[in-house]
Amino acid sequence: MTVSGPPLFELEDVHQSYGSGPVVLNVLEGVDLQVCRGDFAAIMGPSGSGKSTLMNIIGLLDRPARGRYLLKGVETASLDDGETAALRNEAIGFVFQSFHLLPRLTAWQNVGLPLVYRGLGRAEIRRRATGLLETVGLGDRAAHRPHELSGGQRQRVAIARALVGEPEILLADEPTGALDTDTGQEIMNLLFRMNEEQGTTAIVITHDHGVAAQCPRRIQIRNGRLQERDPPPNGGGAGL
Amino acid sequence: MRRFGRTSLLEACGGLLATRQRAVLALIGIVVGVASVSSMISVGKIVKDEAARQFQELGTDVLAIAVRARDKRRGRARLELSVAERIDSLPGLAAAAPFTRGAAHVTIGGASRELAEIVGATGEFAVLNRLPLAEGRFISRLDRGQYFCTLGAGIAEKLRKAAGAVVGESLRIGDTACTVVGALAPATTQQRAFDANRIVAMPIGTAALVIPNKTLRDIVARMSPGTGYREATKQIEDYFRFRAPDMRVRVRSPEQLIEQLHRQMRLYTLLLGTVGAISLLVGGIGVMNVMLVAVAERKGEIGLRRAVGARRADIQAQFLVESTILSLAGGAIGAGLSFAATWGICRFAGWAFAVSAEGAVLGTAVAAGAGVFFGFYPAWQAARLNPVAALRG
Ligand SMILES: Nc1ncnc2c1ncn2[C@@H]1O[C@H](COP(=O)(O)OP(=O)(O)OP(=O)(O)O)[C@@H](O)[C@H]1O
Ligand SMILES: [Mg+2]
Repeated sequence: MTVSGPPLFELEDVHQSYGSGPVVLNVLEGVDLQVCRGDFAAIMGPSGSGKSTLMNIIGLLDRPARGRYLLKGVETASLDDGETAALRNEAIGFVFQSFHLLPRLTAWQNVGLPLVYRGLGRAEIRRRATGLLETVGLGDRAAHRPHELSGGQRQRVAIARALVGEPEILLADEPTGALDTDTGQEIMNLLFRMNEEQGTTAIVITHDHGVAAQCPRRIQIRNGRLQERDPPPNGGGAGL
Repeated sequence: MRRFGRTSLLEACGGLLATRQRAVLALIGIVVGVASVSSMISVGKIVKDEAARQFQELGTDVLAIAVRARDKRRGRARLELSVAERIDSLPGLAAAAPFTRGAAHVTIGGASRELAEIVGATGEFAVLNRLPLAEGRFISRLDRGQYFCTLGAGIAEKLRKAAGAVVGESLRIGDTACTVVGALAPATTQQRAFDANRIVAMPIGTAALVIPNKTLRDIVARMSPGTGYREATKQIEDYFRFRAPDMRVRVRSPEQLIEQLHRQMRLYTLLLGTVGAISLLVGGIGVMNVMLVAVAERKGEIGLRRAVGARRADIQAQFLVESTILSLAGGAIGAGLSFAATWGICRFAGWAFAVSAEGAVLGTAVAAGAGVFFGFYPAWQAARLNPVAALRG
């Protein structure tokens, strides 16, 4: 599903490390990555290899210690808190392994949360959120709270929340990690469908080789660097 | 209003309900604090009104002079009417009215007995005491030796109930029948030497027969224009020093009364202010604690909100709104309680209670201020959380 053109985002020689002094832990050591609109990439790697660290940088939750990150051609290092937040709100949708739904809010309120920060009115938020819940097959659960939903349903609510703002990039950190194989496959199918129907770019972190095998792009993270596996047919950019 | 719609207000309430028990404890401090501050302001306003009212009713230029025997055991020292009457010759005094007084039971309508204050008075008495008439006339010089009386409003009302009229009716003091020639309008201040609503005013001569063992001890006087009460007091004391050396003289002026009133108020203000400040501090720290716990418990929520597009400022605002709502809830209850507290204080101090919106409004504002002030640090903590760390929980 890769569409050629300028990359949607681009990482160049990105470094990230934790700790200081003698116990410094270099997690990312020169990551290069180019992702184009419509890409669907799986990121794989052993536990502790820095997958989440990478995703937090892509999602503008964290800043790299060194290197450049260009999102839609914008140098993200120069953005202030308000601009970063606006970009997160408009360009990025997160899906987490542990769903991260707010227990006090109903399904549609959870889904509508990104729109609250876009300053939309309650009625409009409700309309769009329920629409998204229908898309993920939970139209009849809009008024339910997270604790009334199954794990698979919760993750679908979380996906609806990630998509409600029509972001360009969907970032999923082990979205199927807390689910059984069948439910996990349903979630993956939902992501594939969104990628196909809406052209949403998706980056999915997974430990599951079965899941990764279905993704057009597969990226392995090892020793703080990325390695593209089976480069996609049209040869989309990938660092070593 | 961007990013500050109704949703976040509703969510703020929801967030607070989740930490209900701790919140209740913090609220108590705010409630007591705001109640104290509101009462303090209300009491201040009531006392101001009270002072103005008393000035108006008593006049600013009237002195109450009490002359007492200096040494009770030496007994027979007494104030002569002639000495008392001529006190108006002092340059500081424009007029003076000596009077005697003593409690006695009066019989109204043949049956009902009322405790009244028999006042032996001259015609000046009503004028100097600023006691307006409701009907009839006040007793005068011409009534000397007559069993005539003018009644305070309370006694007059009793008589009207029993006999249907006041002027022309009579009541009995002991065995003596007394014809009523007039009635006073109701008095509201309690600051006179006597209860004006319960007096039975008679000529001094006849009063002496009705309350035989009550000697002349009191004078009401008006100061000459331009004379301060300290100056007048000095003249009065000098006057009696030579003419009645065995007597002790006390002069009271409305100014003094109001000074006393303000002293009393300052005491309440100090008390309420201290209690209010301490309670607000305790409550505010409680609010801060509730909010700090909320921030710690809801790290995941904070991280998630940041991830979906909340700015630091949005997070800060969210928690500030929550702490302010928490404090305002306490403030509303406290403002309500302050009405009860103010009522109690007024009853205790003998002031007329009045509901004042100022106290409640200011108290609520104080609560909101406390919410913002004590919520600021927790909200700042929430806002500066690293989103990645917050998401990790
Ligand atoms: N805030 C932090 N402080 C110190 N070390 C950290 C911090 N965050 C991550 N690390 C370390 O960085 C390394 C990479 O962490 P990361 O969460 O990116 O791994 P991961 O690939 O997502 O692993 P997993 O598959 O278990 O989720 C780990 O060794 C981790 O302990
Ligand atoms: Mg991880």
